[in-house]
Amino acid sequence: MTSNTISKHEHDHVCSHGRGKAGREVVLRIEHLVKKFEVDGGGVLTACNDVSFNLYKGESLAIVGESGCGKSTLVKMIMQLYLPTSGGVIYKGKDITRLTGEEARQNRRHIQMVFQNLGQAFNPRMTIKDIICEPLINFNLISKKDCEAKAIEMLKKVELPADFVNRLPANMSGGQRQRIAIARALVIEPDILICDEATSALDVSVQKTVIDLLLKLQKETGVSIIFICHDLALVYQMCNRAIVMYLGNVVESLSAGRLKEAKHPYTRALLQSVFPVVPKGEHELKTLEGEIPSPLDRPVGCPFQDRCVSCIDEKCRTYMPAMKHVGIGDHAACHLYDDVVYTCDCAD
Amino acid sequence: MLLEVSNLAIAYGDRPIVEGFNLKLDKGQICAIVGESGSGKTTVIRAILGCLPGLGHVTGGKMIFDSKDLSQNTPEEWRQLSGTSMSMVFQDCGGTMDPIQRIRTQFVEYIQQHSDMKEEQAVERAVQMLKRMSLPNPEIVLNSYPFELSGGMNQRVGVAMAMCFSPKLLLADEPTSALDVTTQAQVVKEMMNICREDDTAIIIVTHNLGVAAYMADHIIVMQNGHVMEEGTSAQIVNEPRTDYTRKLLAAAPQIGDAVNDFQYNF
Repeated sequence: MTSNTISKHEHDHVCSHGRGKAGREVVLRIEHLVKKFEVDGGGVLTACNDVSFNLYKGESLAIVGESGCGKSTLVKMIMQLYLPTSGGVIYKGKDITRLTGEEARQNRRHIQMVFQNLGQAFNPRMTIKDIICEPLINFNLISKKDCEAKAIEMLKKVELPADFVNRLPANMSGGQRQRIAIARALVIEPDILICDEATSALDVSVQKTVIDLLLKLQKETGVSIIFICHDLALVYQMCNRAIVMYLGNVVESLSAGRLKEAKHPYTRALLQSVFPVVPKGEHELKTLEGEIPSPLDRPVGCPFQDRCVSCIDEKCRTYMPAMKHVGIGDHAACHLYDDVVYTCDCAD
Repeated sequence: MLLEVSNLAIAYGDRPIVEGFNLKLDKGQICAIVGESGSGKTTVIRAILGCLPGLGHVTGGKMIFDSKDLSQNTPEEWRQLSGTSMSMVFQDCGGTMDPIQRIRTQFVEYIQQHSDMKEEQAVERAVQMLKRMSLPNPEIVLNSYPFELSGGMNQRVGVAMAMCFSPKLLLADEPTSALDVTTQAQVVKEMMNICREDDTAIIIVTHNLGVAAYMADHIIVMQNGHVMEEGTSAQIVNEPRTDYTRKLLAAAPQIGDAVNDFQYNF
């Protein structure tokens, strides 16, 4: 098995045990995605290094990591905005990263996105009605005269008043704009919704209402959500699974509900950086020192070696740890677990 | 008493924004102001620093800082005061700096504005401050442009500049909101250390209740320009008295809480 991949065997194992249900439908299969950028001066920047995972129908999957870990590059490849250096994104049996022309355009209906920057995600001169219905018009799914009714229906779904149809995005608050973005993304009934830090610009109370709305709509429509986020507490509360990335690599994949029992030292460090809401003096802060290394100059061996509290010198500095099964449906890439043999505790 | 604000009222033009705001702060104390966007928390600290934007002006109340009434300050007195005995850290320190000047030039200019140090002395002081903020290579940082530094590094530079003259009061407006969790934890820790060393009081405005509870001795909860509730960190977190505070606490996601009702049982 090459570094950092989950083998077919392990995938099957995930599907047949634990919280994962056998026969759960895979919507999107990310296979060994690599993206390298050539930079001025001849260097090569590796933004994503052999990323593999599955997205199941109706789940919300979080991708977690610090800035610079390759989350956004990964998403752009799934969105057909970047062409991967190698590897593929398999949707309905086809590698969508290699599609071209009309086929590529048609495929965009199935994967939609909600962006972080609410101010820039809309054309400031389009009314809400035009914004919500634009995707439908692009794919010839609606006639102009039905637009208003459709927009009102969508506004109702995202719990906004119907008289917003003729407003401009500038006249709305952040939370309201994010609802419009969700309405626009869901109006053509995609299979996959990608939320790139969709709530990090909102304050906590608004964030909660938007998250509740997203999960309600997910329940109604069965859409799979990829949720890019660096707030682990939010991931814990709203997602089913979490994929933790560091320097372009997936270092751990686990059930979000079990985040507290994360195995990888990096995930544990991330968890310790979260401030719990407890009175002053009751929380001891442990910080992760240093910064993420430059992707232009990746260390040999484990990408996390220089900041890791449990770095085993020789091994971690020489060999890249492989993704290994460490619990029911949980995988981590760390040499600490090289000798641990996970035995399945459920009948199979 | 270092700072005593009583019955402060602020308006933008004719529109009242903040009313009846009270605050008492001793030397070295940390106070957090929390609340949703538009609650007036930033307006309050901008008024304390005398830099309300546009039509903003103080319409009533008193602000006594270091036994001096701030409302009587002349522009020259404000200039003397800000950056030395009272300074501010912004949400995006990189954005508050000149993008086409190196950090060195800006840091030295800042120091020389407020003192008669020679350039070499100023650079020395800058290096010393950057070291105190745990920036490993201060020389490299000084020779960089703001856009060459990461968000966390820019934020550290901002705190280093603000703390340069050991101010009595540091005002921090969402200083870590734009940072990653790991960097946020680092910056919070370093900011608290440096202020403890210099006995600097902090007023931090944030919507991250975890950060507020961790840092502050005293928390003020604001909504629509009014103080809803105030108390010690323990009182606000453990025994909130108003519905609004309870709502705010409930909205803050926490690891270990019951999972969301909507979550599927995968």
